[in-house]
Amino acid sequence: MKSGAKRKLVFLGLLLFCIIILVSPVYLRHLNSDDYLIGDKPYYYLRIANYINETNAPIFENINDNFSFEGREYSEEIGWPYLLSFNPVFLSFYLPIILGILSFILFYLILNRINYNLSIAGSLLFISSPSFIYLFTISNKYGISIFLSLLAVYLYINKKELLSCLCIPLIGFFSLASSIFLLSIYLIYSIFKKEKLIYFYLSLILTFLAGYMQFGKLTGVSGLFFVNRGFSYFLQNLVSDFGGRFGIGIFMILLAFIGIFILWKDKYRFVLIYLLFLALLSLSYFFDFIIFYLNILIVILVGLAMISLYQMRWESDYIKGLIILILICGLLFSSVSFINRLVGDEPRKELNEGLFYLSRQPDDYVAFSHYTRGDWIAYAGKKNVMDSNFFNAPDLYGRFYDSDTLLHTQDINTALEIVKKYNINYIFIDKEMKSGLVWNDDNSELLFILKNDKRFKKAFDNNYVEIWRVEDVFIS
Amino acid sequence: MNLFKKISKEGWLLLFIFIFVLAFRLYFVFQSKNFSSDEAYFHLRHINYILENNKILFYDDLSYGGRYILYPPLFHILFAYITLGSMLLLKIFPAIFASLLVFAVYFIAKYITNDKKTALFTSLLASFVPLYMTETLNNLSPYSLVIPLIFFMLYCLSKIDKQFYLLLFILSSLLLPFLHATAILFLLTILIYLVISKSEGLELTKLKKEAMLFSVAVIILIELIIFKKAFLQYGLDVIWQNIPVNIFADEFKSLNVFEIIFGVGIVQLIFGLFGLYYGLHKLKKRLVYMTSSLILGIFVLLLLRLIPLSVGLMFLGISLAITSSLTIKFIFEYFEQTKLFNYEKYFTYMFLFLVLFLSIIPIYSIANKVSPVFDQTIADMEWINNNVREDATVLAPLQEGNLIISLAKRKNVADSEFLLAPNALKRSEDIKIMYTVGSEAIALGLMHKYNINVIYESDNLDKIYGKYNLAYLNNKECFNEIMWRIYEVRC
Repeated sequence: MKSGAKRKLVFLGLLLFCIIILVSPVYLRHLNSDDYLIGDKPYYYLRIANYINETNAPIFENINDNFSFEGREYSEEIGWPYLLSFNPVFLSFYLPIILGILSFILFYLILNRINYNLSIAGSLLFISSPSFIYLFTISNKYGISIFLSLLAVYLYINKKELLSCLCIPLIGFFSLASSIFLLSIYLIYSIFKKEKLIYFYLSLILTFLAGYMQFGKLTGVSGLFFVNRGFSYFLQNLVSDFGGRFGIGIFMILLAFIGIFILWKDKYRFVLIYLLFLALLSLSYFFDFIIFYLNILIVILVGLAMISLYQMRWESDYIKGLIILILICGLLFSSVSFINRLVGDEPRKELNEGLFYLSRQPDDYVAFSHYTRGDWIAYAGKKNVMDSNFFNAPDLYGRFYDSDTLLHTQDINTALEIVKKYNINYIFIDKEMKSGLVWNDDNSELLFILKNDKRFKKAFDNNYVEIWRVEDVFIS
Repeated sequence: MNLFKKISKEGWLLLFIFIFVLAFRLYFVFQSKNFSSDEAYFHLRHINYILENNKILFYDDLSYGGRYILYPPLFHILFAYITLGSMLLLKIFPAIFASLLVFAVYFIAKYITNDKKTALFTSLLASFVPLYMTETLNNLSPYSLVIPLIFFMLYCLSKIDKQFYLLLFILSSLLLPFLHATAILFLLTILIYLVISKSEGLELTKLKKEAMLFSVAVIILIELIIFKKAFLQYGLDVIWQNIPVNIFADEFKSLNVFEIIFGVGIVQLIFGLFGLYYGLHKLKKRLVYMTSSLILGIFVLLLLRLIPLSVGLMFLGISLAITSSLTIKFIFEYFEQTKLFNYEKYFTYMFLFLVLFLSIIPIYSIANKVSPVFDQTIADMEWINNNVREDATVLAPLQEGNLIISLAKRKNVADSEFLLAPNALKRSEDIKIMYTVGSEAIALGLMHKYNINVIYESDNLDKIYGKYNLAYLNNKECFNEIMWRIYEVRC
């Protein structure tokens, strides 16, 4: 077979693998009759996209989010919900997959410019990395940001600097933080390579405009930009095998260090890569989304390490074979384990039954739960006390304190006071909350109060979700 | 007959030491029909389950009223099939495995010192490290297998250039993580060894590097697979095994001098530290670096309280016993240079007497104090098994929880296997409350919470809780004494 045809065949194989990886979580959930979007954030975007679709809201007009934090102005980038709004449900499921396939193709083409073997190894690793799987199976704004970032790099290496630098402000419509991050990288790279800064300035101005168009209308900025949750959380979040939401596989990290060790032979030639690695690692402590960019760098380093391990002369062929087998198993383990987690992730059928019950209650009702359930409650058309969209949230700290107090109080009067303060009509509790997320047993704190005070009536129970109705808090 | 002729004098002496150590262990093993710890009964339950069902116990419906168990399965599988559940063999085999340390240490010491006599003394010293002896004596513990294996792996690694040792090392690397989570300690040793070798300019052979890379990769992969669920649930906190804070302070104690002396042994400590200094500064041998990497790794883990003190001191004691071979050799060599050299034989006897007096005799008295589970307790458990309804939950101290699930075959409220255990802290606190509160209302509230049907008034309540108070048992309407110290909850 000619080398060109062989390369095409390899590419098609990789493409097929990419499609299988991206479709498998959705398909496996479908087999379990869990035809729901994975996680909580997709429901937030879906709800906003539905709103835009139904009201034909102009793109830069203020959107009033009536359900989040009992009503607030929409304070995130507008790009992703607008893109979804053309066909919200369908696009929420399939647009990430399409973007994933396109990102893989771009990544392959970029690496192909450096080295063919690296493009194969790197693409395989990229596709099977938990970060990639998360980005392109779950509806989120960072998937398209990564796609546009790769497009920018691809255009740049193809000498289309103007188009490339236009991608950066475009990213700003989906994730302004990503856009600023890329601008910083672009600036450092331009200075390092002693290139003209004209394209950087153009990107900077356009990014500023993109930011202003979206956030200039906000009446005030408050809430959290980022949450510092400590070193232990950082490590756990960074490594997917330790339970990180979209972290990097442990074998990837190990192999990345081997990759750095290999590059180290050339000392200062790759100094920018070492610095970038350190910078990304440090930034990912504060900003979760940086892990997606770190993943790209790690995948390249791991690709180099794998090629090098394969090509180097080994003293023992047994060990060579065994090590490569173990490394492949380790890399696959992280991916399979992550897909398995996505398949079992909430919301599933039982939880959805609870949300369906909630959705049939009057629209202006307030439902209380742990803030990680807030987006689901809002999607069910009920106001939540708080959800995980902290940026510019009204009275964030007060609500967080009150929520925590209500969940953990043993005093009925304290509980009723908070219920009254936020006009709570329903309390939504699921099994995960009772299995460590909030409580460790089902008869303590708020759960005890709910069971023992007649002002709370169980309105729904399917052994997974309990919904308690507040009968009348004004009865003393 | 030819085989016996081939064995050298040192070979016979080594065999004698092995038999002596084994006999010492078996002497205590045969003092009682029962094991010395509650933990042994956890392993017994798993071994019996494998024999009865031909599969590994993943979900234990008795422990904590039903929970997932994560434990490397090889120890249970191996013991199930080599003992077929015979109590006698279950007591003998751990003693045999633990005594095998004699050989591993002998070969390491011989490799380091190139002196057979020193190696023999070292193997004797290592076998009588106090904590290693007490933790594995009359106990069904994976450490009796894991510790000799880890030291054997270190030896294999030093001789990796020979095909035979390479294969043994590969095989051991595959088996170790299936035996016990302590495999991580071996991994840490390798990593520290790599760093020390680099910093000291020791050139490692390519094959050794490859073997070490293989070992690191395989241990991480297998541990990840086995403990996946725990990693996802606890993240890096999995190191602390979900141990409740009230027990954590006892298990993961911080280092103190007296604990080290009692755990490691005075001879091993003094000779070991001198040997370590001498080996690192004068000799610069690879295996010394490897052993010191293990010592350093344990020290770091103990200082950061990432490893239970007892486990750390076991490894520390044996490692120091190994480095003490350098001190012994040093003393013998020094002696050779003096006029007293003519009395070498007497000097050797004197040295043996020193080991006997400072190491073996104290251990004999410590071992005498290690009391097995009382016969009466075992009889109580068997009575519960035969007379209490099968779905009952039995209240027993956390320290005897494994006896309930293993021998009484009834649900417990909590036991000492904390990983993935639901509400371990709350349950251990509630058990304490039920045994100490005296108030019937509070105790009954908790008994209803855990659906407790039977209360077991253990012999060890005084020892565990100091003052216990079961005054509410006087209410005969609610608590019926169905057997001496066993009460049925009626209310």
